[in-house]
Amino acid sequence: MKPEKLIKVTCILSNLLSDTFRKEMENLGIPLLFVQPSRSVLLKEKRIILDYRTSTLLQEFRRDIFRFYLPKKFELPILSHLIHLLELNQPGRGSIYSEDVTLFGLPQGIFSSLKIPAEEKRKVPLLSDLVGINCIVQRGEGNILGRSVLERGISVPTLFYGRGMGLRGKLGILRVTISLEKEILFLTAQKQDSADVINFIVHNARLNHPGKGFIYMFPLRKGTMDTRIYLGRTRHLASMEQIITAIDELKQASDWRRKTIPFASPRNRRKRYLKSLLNYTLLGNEGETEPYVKMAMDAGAGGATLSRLQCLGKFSAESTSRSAAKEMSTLVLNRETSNIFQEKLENSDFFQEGVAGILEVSEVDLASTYLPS
Amino acid sequence: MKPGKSGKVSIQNALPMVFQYGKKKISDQLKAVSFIVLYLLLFQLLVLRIPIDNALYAALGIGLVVLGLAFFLEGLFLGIMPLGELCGLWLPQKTKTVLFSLFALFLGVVATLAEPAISILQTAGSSIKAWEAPLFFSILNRYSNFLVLVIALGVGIAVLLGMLRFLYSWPLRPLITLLVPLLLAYSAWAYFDPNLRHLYALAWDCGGITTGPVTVPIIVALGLGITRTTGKGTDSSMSGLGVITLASLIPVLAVLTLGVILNSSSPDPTSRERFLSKEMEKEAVKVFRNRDHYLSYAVLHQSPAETLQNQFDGDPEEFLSFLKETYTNPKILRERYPNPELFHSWITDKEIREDLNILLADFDLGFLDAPRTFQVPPGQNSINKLMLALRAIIPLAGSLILVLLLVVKKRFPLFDEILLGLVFSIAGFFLFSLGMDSGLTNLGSQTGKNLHITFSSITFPERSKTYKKFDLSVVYTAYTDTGERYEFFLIKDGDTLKEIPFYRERYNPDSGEYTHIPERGPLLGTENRLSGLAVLLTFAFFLGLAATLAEPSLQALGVTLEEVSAGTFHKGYLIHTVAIGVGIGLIFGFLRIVMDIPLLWLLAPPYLLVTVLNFFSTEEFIGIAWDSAGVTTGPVTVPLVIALGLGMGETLPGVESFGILALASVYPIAAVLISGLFINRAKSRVIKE
Repeated sequence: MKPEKLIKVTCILSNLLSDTFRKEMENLGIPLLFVQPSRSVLLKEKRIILDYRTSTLLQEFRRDIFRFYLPKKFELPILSHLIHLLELNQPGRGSIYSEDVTLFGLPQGIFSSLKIPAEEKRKVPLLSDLVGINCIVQRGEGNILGRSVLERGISVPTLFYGRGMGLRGKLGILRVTISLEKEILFLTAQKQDSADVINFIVHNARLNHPGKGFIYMFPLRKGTMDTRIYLGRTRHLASMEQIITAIDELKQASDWRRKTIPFASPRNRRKRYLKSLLNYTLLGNEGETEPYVKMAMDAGAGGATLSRLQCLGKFSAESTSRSAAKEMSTLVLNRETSNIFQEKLENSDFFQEGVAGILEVSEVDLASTYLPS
Repeated sequence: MKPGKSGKVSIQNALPMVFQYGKKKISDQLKAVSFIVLYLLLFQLLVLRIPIDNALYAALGIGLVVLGLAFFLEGLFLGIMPLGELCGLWLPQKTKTVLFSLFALFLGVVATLAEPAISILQTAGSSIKAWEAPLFFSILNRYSNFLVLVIALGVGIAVLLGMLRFLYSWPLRPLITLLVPLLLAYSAWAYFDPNLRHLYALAWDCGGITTGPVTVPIIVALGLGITRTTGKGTDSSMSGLGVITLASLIPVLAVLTLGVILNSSSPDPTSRERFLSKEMEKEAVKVFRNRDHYLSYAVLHQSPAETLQNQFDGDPEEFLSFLKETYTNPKILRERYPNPELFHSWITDKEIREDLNILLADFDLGFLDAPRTFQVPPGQNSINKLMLALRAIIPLAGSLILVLLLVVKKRFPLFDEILLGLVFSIAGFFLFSLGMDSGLTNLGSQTGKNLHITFSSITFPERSKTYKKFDLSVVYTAYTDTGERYEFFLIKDGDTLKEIPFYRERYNPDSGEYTHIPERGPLLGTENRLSGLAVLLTFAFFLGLAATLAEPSLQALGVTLEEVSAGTFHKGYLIHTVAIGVGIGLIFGFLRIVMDIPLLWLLAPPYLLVTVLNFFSTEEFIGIAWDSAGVTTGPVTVPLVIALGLGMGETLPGVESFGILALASVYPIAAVLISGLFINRAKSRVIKE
């Protein structure tokens, strides 16, 4: 099967902006648009006893995660266009970023009706020094982790639900006794700070303990960052977030706000990261991807996370046999053994109409989890 | 990364896993149920200060309820809801819209027929006398099968409309704006017809009862499955809701229409004497299931002399054989009196016995002395409950599985989990129904019978005591504030002296006996009846609150909403908001019973309010609010409310206990919509600042 090197764009938006976004995607002729419900968490100031004291609460906001693919030449025009249209440079509205991916199983010629939007006059604050971090934890722990991320001023985390797929095959019917529900926390960080951020999260979520979770970091091409971490009263003519955004725009980079996150515990100085990995995402009709995940587990994947999403977009709407209900299984594989899995998958019926599968492969910089010594 | 180890788990390792899992599920339900149990217990013991009857029996029952709920809920999540979702995911793709619509209609009908709502309605309706509202009575008795079919059809149409709504993205708001005023107008018209007057209260209660604990999760899951495949519309993830709303409103229309159709053939309301008189017999029998049922009813509601004259043509032999058959033949007894206790308490009443002795003096009444147990043998009760559970779940789940296998012909994902879930659901439903009777409902009806002590006084004839060879010289006299004489005497109870009021009429000079019947006055004293009423209404509020916290379908809906909103909509928040709404609804419900306010006056304003609130709310919240209200009157709240209503109705004669559930269903809508307005305001604040 012929791989296609494309750009994957992910846009995390306040759900009040979703309608505008969807219409624009139709106008641009985007063939496949995946959408998933999620939430972002922010710190909110709460005044108690007539302003005498304030406390900080965690406030949740509904976000939609949109994902779509583009040929490289469309990346900048479409990103700029969307940032301007949705005012993503303003704090609190969402964020957008792009990644390099290799796709298998995309139908031929689906980008033929894609339109390049008119060039935007104003320069957009697209940062090029970002990384993406995905952290998978037990359900219920997402908010706790999200809060510590916010309090460190790292970035605004986005959380969504998934199910762990690893234990299914091993336990038989007993699997019902263990909760497989997971929460996936996604955030972006500056490349320079990324190692410290990973360490911080590993320490905070105790990911180096068995069964606590998994974290991996992947490179981003370009993107914006939502700077609204804190919701509260502004005592000045501009909020801190607006100032940060303005300076990012001027400098076209975020390294000016690099932090050295002091890290206390000597225990975690031994950096036992997993390297030489690839991220495999299997997209298919809902309920159909499990057998292929099992193939990946046989090839050495430690586990997989399944999330449900919907597939919209021009192409999806036109083919009546496809339903919009999809699922996405994400897993991480060793580079060396991944070929075995890929071959098996190509020889299976994953790409046939029943599953309507698409395989997405992307780079992983590093990962961390509990490793028995 | 190394490939994972695979292999069977040993029993040794499996048992702790199963134990942990069971422990978590049971403790969750224990927490949910504990509120209502503790509340009822503490209220009866501390506020009313009346001891609990059969406490151990009740405790066992409650334990079964907790266990049953744990199994049932887990069964919902493992088996029933995934089945519904699969249908929603696969069927629209594989079948034409027409076929799918027929399936939706079929599903709605089967769901209603499977769940035993009609017996609840009959119990609730038992306080209405046949001559007060003949049409109402006949619908619940003679035409009860019609009633069930009509309700089932209503639900079927609702499910059909609901599914079409998803496929074609029709908004919910206009549907509600159309239906609610129509129903209110229809009810208002019915109110002015003396025969239909009681019926509209029944109709609205039917709407609340229909969507039961098995129907709701299936329909919600089905709706979710469908909306995921269409991917259309704004907030499409939330619009899997709305079917329950329709399934609560459309049956009201159906029942009212049934009433109108049958009205012409039904006798008008009349007095007891006229209704049970010989001349009216032909007309009166029309209202009952058959002549036997008519006779059985007449026996209980007249003096034996009247019955002998009116129904048995003055022939004592026929009358005797009727009584003898009923008393000695359990099968006939059960046919004539589905609740045998009613006949038993009638025939063992002293005065009735005396009358019978006089009327049937020429015959041998010795058979009445033979002790008879009218209790259902314990095994039989359990078997009945098991059949109930099987009936509630197997037709529905079976139809879904059959349809999936025939139409879709795909391999079932996680079929073993689904089967396990079905087994859990059946077991849970069985244990739950078994436990409800002896546990919560028992507690509830005890409290209900004693409840009006808050604002009036009640006597406890079952605790009366007779003092033989009573010496009048022990009676003292005191004077009250108003100058009246109050007579009393003292008895030694253990180490203390207790004061017993002396009423002349309870002293029998011939036998020298005084019968003391314990009495408890209004809770806060006779001068404070209004405060007593306030206590009653506060009780009602917290009852509604506590019962809602235990509702399984609401928990299922809450979990589904949390999942679909990626955690922004907390399950606890939904349950608490709805609980407050139900509490408020019960306040009005109890007010209605005590002050006999017509239901329409209490129902129309909130329904109009929420229809108006719809225009200020998003489609997302409209679906959540209206559906959660339809969900909430479920297997915990309904029996409790009915038991309490009946218990109170016994002590406040001539009042109907219908309509409480309808009220308990409308205020949650307002509660959720109002809180939704606040949430949406907060949300839009983030992106505007």
